[in-house]
Amino acid sequence: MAEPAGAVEACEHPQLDPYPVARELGDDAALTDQLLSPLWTRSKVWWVLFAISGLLALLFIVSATYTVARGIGSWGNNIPVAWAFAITDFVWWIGIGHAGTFISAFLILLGQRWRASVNRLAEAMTLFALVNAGLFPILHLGRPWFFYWLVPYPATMKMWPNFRSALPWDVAAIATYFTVSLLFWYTGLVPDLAAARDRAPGRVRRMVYGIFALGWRGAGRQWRQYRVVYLVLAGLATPLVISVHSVVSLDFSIAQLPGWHSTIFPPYFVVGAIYSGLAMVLMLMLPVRRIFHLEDVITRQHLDKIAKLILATGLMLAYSYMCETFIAWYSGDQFERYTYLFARPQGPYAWIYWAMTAVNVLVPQLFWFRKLRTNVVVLFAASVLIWAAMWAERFVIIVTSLERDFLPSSWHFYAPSWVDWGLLIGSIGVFFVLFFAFLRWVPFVPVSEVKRLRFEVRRKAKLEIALAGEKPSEALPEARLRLTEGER
Amino acid sequence: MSDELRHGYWRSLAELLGAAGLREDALREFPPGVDGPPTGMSRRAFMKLLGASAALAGLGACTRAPEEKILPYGRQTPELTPGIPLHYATSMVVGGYATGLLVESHEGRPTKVEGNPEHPASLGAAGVYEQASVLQLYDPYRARSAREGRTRKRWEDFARALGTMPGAQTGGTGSGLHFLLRPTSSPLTATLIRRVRERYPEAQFHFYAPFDGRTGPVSSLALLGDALVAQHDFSRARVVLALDSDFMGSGPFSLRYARDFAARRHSGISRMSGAGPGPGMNRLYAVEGMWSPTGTLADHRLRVRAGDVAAVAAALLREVITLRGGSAGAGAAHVQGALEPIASGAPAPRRWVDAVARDLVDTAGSGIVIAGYDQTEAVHAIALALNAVLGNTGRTVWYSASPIFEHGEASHDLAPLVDAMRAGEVQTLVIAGGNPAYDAPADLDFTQALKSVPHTAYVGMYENETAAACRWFAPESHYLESWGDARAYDGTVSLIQPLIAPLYDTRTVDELLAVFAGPDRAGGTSAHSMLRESWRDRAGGIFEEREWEETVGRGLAPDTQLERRTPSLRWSALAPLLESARLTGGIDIVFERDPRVYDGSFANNAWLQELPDPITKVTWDNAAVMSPATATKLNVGTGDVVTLSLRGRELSAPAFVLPGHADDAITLRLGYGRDGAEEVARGVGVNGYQLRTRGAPHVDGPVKVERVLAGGSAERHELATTQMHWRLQGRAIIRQATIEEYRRDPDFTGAQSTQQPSLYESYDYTKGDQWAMTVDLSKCTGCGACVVACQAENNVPVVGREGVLNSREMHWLRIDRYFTGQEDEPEAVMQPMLCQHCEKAPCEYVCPVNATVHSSDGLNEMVYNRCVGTRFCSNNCPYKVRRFNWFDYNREIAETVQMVKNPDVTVRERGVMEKCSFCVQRIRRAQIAAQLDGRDVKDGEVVTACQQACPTRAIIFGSYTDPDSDIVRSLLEKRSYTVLHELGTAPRVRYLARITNPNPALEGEA
Amino acid sequence: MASLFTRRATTRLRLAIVLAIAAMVGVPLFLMGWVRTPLERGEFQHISQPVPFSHQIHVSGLRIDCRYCHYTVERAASAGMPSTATCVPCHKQVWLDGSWFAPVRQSLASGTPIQWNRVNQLPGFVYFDHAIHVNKGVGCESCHGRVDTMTTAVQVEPLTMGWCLDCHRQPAEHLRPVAQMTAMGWQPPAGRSRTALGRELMQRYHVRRMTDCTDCHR
Repeated sequence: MAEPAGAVEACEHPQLDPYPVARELGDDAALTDQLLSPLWTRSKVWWVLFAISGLLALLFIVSATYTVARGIGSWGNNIPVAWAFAITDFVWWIGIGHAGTFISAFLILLGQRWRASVNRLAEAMTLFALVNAGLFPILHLGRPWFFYWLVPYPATMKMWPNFRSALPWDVAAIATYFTVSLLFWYTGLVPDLAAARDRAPGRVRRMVYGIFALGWRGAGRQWRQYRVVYLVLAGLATPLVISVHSVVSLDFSIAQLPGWHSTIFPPYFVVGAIYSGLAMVLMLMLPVRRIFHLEDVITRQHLDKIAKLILATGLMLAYSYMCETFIAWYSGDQFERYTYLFARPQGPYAWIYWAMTAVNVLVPQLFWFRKLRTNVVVLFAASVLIWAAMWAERFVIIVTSLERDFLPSSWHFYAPSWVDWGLLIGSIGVFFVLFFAFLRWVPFVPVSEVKRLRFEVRRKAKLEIALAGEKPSEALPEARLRLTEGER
Repeated sequence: MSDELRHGYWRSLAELLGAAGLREDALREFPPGVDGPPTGMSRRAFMKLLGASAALAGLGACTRAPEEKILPYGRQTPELTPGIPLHYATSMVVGGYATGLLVESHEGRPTKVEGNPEHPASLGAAGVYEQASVLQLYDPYRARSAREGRTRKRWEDFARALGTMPGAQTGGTGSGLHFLLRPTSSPLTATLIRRVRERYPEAQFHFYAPFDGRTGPVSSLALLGDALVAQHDFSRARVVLALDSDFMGSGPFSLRYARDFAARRHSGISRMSGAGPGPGMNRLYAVEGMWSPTGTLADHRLRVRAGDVAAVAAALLREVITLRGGSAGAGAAHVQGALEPIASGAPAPRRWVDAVARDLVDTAGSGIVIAGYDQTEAVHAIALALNAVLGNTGRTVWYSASPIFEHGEASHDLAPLVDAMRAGEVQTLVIAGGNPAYDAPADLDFTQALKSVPHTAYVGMYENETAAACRWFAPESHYLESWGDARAYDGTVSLIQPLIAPLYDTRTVDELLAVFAGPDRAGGTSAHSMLRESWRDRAGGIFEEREWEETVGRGLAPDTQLERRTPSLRWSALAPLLESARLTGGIDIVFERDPRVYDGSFANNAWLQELPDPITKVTWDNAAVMSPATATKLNVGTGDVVTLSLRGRELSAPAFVLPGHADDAITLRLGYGRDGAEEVARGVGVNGYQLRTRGAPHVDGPVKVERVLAGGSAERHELATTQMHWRLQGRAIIRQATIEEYRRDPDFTGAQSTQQPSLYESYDYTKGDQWAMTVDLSKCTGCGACVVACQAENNVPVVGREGVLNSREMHWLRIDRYFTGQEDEPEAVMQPMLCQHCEKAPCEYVCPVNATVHSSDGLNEMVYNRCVGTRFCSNNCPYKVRRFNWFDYNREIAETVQMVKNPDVTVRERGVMEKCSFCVQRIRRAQIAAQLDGRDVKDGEVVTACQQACPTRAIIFGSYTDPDSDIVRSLLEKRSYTVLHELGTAPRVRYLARITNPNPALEGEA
Repeated sequence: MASLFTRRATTRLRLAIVLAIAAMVGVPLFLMGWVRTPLERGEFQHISQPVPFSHQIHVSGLRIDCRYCHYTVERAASAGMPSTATCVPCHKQVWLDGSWFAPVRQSLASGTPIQWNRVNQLPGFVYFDHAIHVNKGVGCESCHGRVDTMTTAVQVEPLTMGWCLDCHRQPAEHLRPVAQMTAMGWQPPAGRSRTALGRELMQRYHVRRMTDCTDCHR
């Protein structure tokens, strides 16, 4: 991983606000108050947004019900294109679900402190994305009521799943990933829930938060155990970031279909997943930061670092695209060549292919420039584009490969039905219903960690000043900056 | 799964048939004229009968079914063992000619039609119409009872009413009494007609069918002095010239002709490749405008308009006569002059004419020139002359009286009847079968004329256009419910024996005629008794019960072919016939029988509607087919709606651009645009009969073609085709070679037949039965019989136009059609594509629940009840032969239609995959039978549905562990190869490369 | 301020958590157990019939062979249910005019069948063939139990796929000489173990392990 190193350098860079947390905040109590205030403040805007997402979620429920009632025929799928929108949505969501754990678990192990103020949000996003990702495969079954046949259990028919297929592993991977992510997220949440409990107006809320705080008192022993558990979970979650999407990629690469049958799929998919995930983190974070005035907590430096990560993963993705196409040509295999050199760039869905390539390859290049990395508007626009383009990428991989495979006689185009659209748009609604609920009722910035982070920064500063004790006059403007007026 | 119904059905059907109750209900419950599928009533009736509650159908695979009833027989029928199907011989009549059949019956319920191996017109094969006819029996839209106007009547009322109609009263002379029948070859019907004529001297009989094949007899009447039809022996023909003749794909005796031609072709291939004895390989020249199954097999296909075929034929005749010189016979020389004007305009390359003529002369005496069934007198006359000059007559070609009653006579002309109707001379018109109101020539305006007939009665299977125009209507029995007889094309008398008691209050045409022929005026006389009677008469009064039983058992009376005749040719009569040979400018329109719905009489058969057209692959529609050149000229593309204007009549039809179609011609298949009470057929396609006139039933023109513009842009009608792409993309899917190339390099497919290396050690496939199949591309005409046979045998559902448009057709066996060669003169190749039963199947390892796995005898098994429907298997199948139940197709069909289901095959529920099983139900049945006798399965004991139906025997199936078996011999043919061999799927289906036998003199020509 | 929770709260919470986890594990386990109970499979359940026909009387009492009524068991997939006419010859003398026989008389008169209630029920997608089983030495008793002791017939075996597979994978234990096909309570001759005899019979009858899916599902 190259970017942590890069990130460290950025810390020392003078022009850029060098601190993961700004100083112009009162004492810890004040900080806590500010970070928890969203839980108590009423907001019309919130209700509007919540209602809109609610309607979209309703669309999802309608489409899903219709699918189960009528059959998969209500979709646009056909033979040859037996997989299309639903699987695209599935891969897309589960990909998005990767950024959260990546930011929290990966970076914690790499000692990237700055993650503190953004990880809660990212983790929540992961969970909600996974909820969607989990729904699609089941909906996608011809007979969803038998989904449990994919799970190994001693059945009276004495039949077991076929472990040579990737799908049973898929089930396992997603289930595990969801469980771990949930625990990880919740564990991190406990101290803040306790804080919320202590500050909540009204007994009922205090009760509710109290129950979920699991009797957290902030005692030294609790903190010690908490840190251990948190680290262990991070350790567990990290390999999952790699494994889950690798398994998902096997759903395609174990097939011999040109366009699927490719050895670079696992890394290619993982990178793509993190790429899309980071994009969505930005997409969600920027408005939140603005609305709740968190510029001091989620600083430009955070944006800068995430943008760098996007640039890095974007480059890897571009490399994968190149590699795929090159190998297809280099293999000399006429079927591979047709898929990569004709079906995709010239076939019925060529425009999607070119659009997604353009966005995924070119847009990240913006982030070579610091100005753009920290320009909120650019960041937001870019993240939305990438977010959409990554859906298109999965669509291209799945549909264009199936549309034209080996025997020309069986070639047939694919066109989605309203149910397909309903499920896609609806799933976005489902996501935001959960997300807005989260913003409203859960401390979405990890208060305790931010406080800890700030404390550490200050201690370092004081230490440096103390060391340079002789000439305080011109002493270390660098370090002074890190202290509030009072402390100086 | 909904297959609980299946159990229900076979347990109950014996009762169902016994239960008059159901038929009574059917009568009572339905308002007149309504032919909707049986709903509430029939459900109740069925519940009463089988006690399987509808709830059963809804249950998933693992849930315990609720209480079920067992219904033993009240009284046991001796020959019947529940669960073991019986086969009965019968015959089906298409276009007046009989084809012998064996019909499979489960507890008295006919479910599957096979050919009768003993019957000369079948030899065990059965075409699409025969295969699909069993569905027609259960068609919920069949008429259920008689009516007068809108009031429901019983058959007896109908019969009595007939007796009171003017001209028909007892003792009446029959003046003003007219009958309109389909052309018939039935001896019984003929007898009855004679008896009616005796009773009513002035009663008049007329016969009409839109495709009556009269041009042959008419031309022979002139040239040979008698109305004869040509008979051919293709097993002895070295060179065949088909003048717009689809002798292998459609028309009488096509099943037999296809078998003979293919047999000769195959022995030729194996001999010339040094692999066996037998006669040399035959060569086929086809002259045609629209692709026909026969044309796809041609070694040289000359692409000319149907209207110009006569000219080409004339040119050939002229050339042949010249070549034969003196041996051509005295009269021959004189016709040269008459030939000149047409021959000179022949749109055929000089080189082609010379070469073919030369080839015909070289093989004189062992060649066949055959004229299209629907072609003009001129073409038939020239064909006749050619065979005479070449001395084929008497060897490979001979003549016989037409089996069709009064075929050559004026009674087969509709015009006099219509005139009489207009003149008010017709008091009573009894129409038996057919559908003249729909398919009569447009210029006669039959429906209008019908209005001026005071008493009209129609007997038919459907409340169709004609029924709507008649006051009295009575439903006709399906042939599987009827007693009767008919002649095959060669004259063999064939028996029609019922498989099931009439489902509704129906009668046969013979029983209708009996009302007039007496003695029982109430129509009580059963066809059965009449049939036996007529047989007693024929046997000279001596009626041997045993002999009769035997004949019925065999389904035909042996040695009843019509006498061979080879009268000498009256050359003088040739010239006048050539007058009708026309060469026009402009764009021709050609009216053709549809390979799926025939003349429209099968239009309500969903199996046939969904069967892809052999060439265009269009389903649920007909189209104005034209060549790319013509399309460019007219600036239209496939799917653009065009208006065809011909002599002030107009018709709008979607265009279809077909490579290899003749330029400046439009082919329009008839039988669509139906407007009767047949729900399936109604509104499908356009009605070409609206343009077809009495003068030009086959080719007409010039026709004006214009694009229909809807708001500036061209109006479009999407055609539901099952195959969108027809280029091979340079992929080695189809292998073909000329016989010479094959002889030089017999191993040209070698690279595609070896075992591919694999990382996994392969399972031992050498013990027990090991099933395999070969498909011979040299024999497949693409007729589609196998597709329908498979559909019938394996309960394959129908998805309708919408389904096909979205590529969701369910056929387990499809026929891929590719065009090769140059774009302007392409060759068409047919490739039946079905589950390849790969030993290393890509579908198997990706299924998460082991729903598709491999059996020890090499079958790729699909276990419906384990399938959860991830569809991964389909994605990973390189042949894309797997089908998915997108909806609950089998729940959405009427109960009567569910009666056609094969009880040995699970009826699939929605959400599961399905595909070709190599007819595993037949395999297991045979294995169990063999085991019970303590022996192994013999070669030929297991025959798949597709193999059984195939007229050309292009499909061979069996176990390759039996060294002395057809399958082994065929697998060992050098030209065998596997499709997509490079993927290492090790298929159990191998294809035999297509070997052609082009004329060296025509190198480089199509 | 007043404490938010009582002293017991912690215990309660812990308990709740434990229960939740227990449920997550326990519910599936319970279901797996439930489908293995005779109750769920409908074993030993009394099924009333239109005519109180007693196998016990006919089989052990009158020593009538199974095949007298189930007459196609040796040659067809279905064992065959006796047509109403089958009852008549014997019952002309006895019972025929009894009130129990009302359905039989009615059936004889109308020719419509007696509607028996199915006892041993397989799903529609299972193609079980009696003939091949009995001809390979699987006795009636192996699946239908001691019919000779049943006043009304009941299902005595699970009829689950697993149950079928047990025999299809290891046929030996379940075989008997074909002659003994309809015998009830048959035991191998003294000194012969079922397995040993079974192995021998497998040889004699060419019995194979039939574990291809399409052996039963088509």
